[in-house]
Amino acid sequence: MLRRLLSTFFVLAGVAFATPAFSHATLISTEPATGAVLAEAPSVVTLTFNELVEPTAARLITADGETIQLPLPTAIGPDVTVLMPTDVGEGTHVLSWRVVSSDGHPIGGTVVLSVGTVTGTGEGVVTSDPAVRPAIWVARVLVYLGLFIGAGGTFFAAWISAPSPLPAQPKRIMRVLMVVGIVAIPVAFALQGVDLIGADLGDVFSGDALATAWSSTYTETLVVALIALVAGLVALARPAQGRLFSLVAILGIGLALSLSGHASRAPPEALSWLVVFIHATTVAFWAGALLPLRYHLGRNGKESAAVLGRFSAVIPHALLPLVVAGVLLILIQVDSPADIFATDYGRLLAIKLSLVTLLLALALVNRFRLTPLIRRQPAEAARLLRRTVGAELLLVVIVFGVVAGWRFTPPPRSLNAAGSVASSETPRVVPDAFALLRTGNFGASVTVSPGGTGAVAASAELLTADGAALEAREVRIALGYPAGGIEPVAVDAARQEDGTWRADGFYLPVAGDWTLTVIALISDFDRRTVTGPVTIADPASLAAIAAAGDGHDHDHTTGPGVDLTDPFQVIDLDPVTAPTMAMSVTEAAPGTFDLGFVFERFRFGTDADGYDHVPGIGHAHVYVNGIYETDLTANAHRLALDPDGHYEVYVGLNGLDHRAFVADGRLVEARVAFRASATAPLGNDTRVFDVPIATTGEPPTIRVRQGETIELRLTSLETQVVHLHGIDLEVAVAPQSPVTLLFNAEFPGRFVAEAHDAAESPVFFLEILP
Amino acid sequence: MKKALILATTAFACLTAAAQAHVGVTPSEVPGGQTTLIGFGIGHGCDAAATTAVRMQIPEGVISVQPVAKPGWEITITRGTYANPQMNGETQVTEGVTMIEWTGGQLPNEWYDQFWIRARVATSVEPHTMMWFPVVQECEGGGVNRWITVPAEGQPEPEEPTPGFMVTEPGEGGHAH
Repeated sequence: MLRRLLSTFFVLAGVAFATPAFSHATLISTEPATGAVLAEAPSVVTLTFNELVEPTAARLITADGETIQLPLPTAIGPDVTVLMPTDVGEGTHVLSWRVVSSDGHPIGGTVVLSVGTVTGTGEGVVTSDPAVRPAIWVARVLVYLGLFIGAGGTFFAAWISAPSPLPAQPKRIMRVLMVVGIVAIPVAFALQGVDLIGADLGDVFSGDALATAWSSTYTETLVVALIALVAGLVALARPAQGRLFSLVAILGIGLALSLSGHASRAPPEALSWLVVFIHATTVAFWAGALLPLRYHLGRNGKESAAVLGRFSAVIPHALLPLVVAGVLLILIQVDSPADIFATDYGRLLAIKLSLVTLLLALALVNRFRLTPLIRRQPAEAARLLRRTVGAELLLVVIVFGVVAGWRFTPPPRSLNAAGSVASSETPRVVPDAFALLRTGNFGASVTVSPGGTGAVAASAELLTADGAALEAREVRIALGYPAGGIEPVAVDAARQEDGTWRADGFYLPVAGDWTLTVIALISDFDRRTVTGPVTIADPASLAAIAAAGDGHDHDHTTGPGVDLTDPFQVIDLDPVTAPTMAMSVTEAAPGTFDLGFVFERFRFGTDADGYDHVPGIGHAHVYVNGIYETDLTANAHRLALDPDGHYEVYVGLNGLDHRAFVADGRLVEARVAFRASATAPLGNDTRVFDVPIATTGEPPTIRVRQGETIELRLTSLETQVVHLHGIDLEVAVAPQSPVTLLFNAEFPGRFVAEAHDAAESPVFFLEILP
Repeated sequence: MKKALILATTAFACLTAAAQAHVGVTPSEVPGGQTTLIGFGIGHGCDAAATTAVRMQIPEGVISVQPVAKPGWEITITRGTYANPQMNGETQVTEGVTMIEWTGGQLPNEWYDQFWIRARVATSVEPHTMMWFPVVQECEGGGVNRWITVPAEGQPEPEEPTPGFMVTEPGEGGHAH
């Protein structure tokens, strides 16, 4: 308190010094994230804000609906740590928190956490007393009226009206307003406390509420306001010291308003503070003058004409700083004109501005038409002036009502600071994530749908070591994120008609490489487990790719999953100048696969090239079985894989802004699905066939000799999943994404390739002749 | 400090829970070629429900298996042909007991009991290999514990590890009978 007053003094003395930038606090993130489903109750929950905050309350509403008051959270910098009870049971719990930001305004929110299972949405659990806000608003308006009309009026009485004494009527009104204001101050104080801890109106005089209110910056405002009101009463009662006390009163008003509130905490703080001080002081002067002025005009005679003359001589010197300060405050608080109608704060501002415009118009009429008239037609002019000044007074009171409403709306400046967080919630279609998990005796092909953060389901197809379908008695699927400290959550899967096992009810709070585990009970004594990574995308970063280019290590939608019509995903290039690429796969040694590349009109970008699209420059990302392998930096890459397995290698070209290159309706990419076996290496003596895939018409037959390596280049006019039996290769093929199958013709026979459509249509036959 | 204490307590609770959660094997080392009494200890039921049945698979390489009579329990033996013939000294053994089932008893969650077999490790089994005995424990109310996940080296201990013993050189300790 003392320090703040001292700093006030330094600012007044014109000493410029650096102060930390304070603003209205906004929650940036929580750990664990809201909506998280956890295996065990967390011991702590951490809330991270955009600035320093002071926690005032935390409560836990358990799954049973019980409310537990938690110990006051601790704040270290912008991080607030809430210590959770040790006996939190299963189900969905709601952590309700409240903090006060440095501008004195409380903000609150909830974190929804589920332990084990989700038993509710957690929405609508926390309700605050609906009576608190209107009560705060009334108390504020009463304090404003006491300050501006009451105490502000004493300045007019002592400095403008004097030596003419004030008429009795306005004097009485001013005294009543100031006394009401003084009474309203402790009420406002207690209500502030109630609001800070989120209690009911009935708890208004509870120790917690008062103690919390005492620690908020609003307390300083109220103390100075009290001093201003008392000084105003003294000035009114003792006209001899009227000038001194009314000066204390009006400076007190300016100081009181600049000690708390959104505006005075906007960076640069020292300037904002000064601007608020000037604005409040000049408003007090003008608004305070209106009531006594109106009654002066009720009396005829030279005395009132002289008072009016003195007022009209002085008022421009007050109005100019008032308006300039007001405009500056708008510039500080509102980032763009669009915010005025998009936010509650802006709408209140618009109402205030309309009222103020009307006020200024009235003031101009008074000053330039009616005031000169008073010399010629005193009675008529006084009558008109009484009316206009009365109207001004009414408008001023309404403006105070509007301004008191700002207490409940954060300014666009703060909202925009949090905008990157809020706007990331934009709903977006996220492609599924795939993972092919394998161990020595067990495999699972798993689809996580959608493959982004939030609520997802996982479907697993169980496979034997050689890729055949595997039946199971029970299946559990678990997803965990060890990198983020998220324990695996296991869900029982249900067998679907098509033989896959589906587990619902996962909630993935963060993007990244999650650990996927499939546990299958094959028989009484045979349980098999396979674990591997699955990449979960952040829907917001997908959207941000085109806008910003956010670095090199995020994931791309590949092949058939790319939407060519989405400008966030692709860059459509001129086919003549577009880069091209070709990829070959050869098996140098069992399990060692060499990828060779030929690029045209393309070079690899470096950090020096920036993140904006430049034709012919970009990245090539290598994926194996849908999992990111590497960024390509040369025309070759070696893969070490199990020599016996199914693989799909995908390499796509992306621009510097990470959008995929597209030319002529096709992705500039290469996809090769290959079946490796330990018996013969791939890639020697390769025979190539072009195979258009169509589900209508006579399927073609491809005849090859046993022992050859076969390369089938599949193209399709529609998106299909094709399964080549015998070789047991399954690939998706799409118009924008042809795919190559590579395998050894090991065993003779006639094998069918089917499309996974409703009819399981054959699309081609492969005959391997001995 | 308070937090550290809570963490320490939790860690301790986890440790003790893990220690109780196993199906214990006595002895933990069995020499090849000797007839040995092997006990499997069950220290708890399934989520506090009493144990009513225990099924155990006999691994390949464990021959001449006989369950020890156990009052209060019915014992069922399943015989089968081995996938790979085993050697009992100079004799080739191609079939034997593959599963033993104890049913009809009632072992409260709070009690401990051992299920004994007499058996011999075939001489064809290399010393220093583990013999794993997958066990399925059934309880009142339909609860099941499956002690069938073989612990892998370098991996964290599975939730329900398979009990097993180490085969040692013939004549190297153990209890010969």
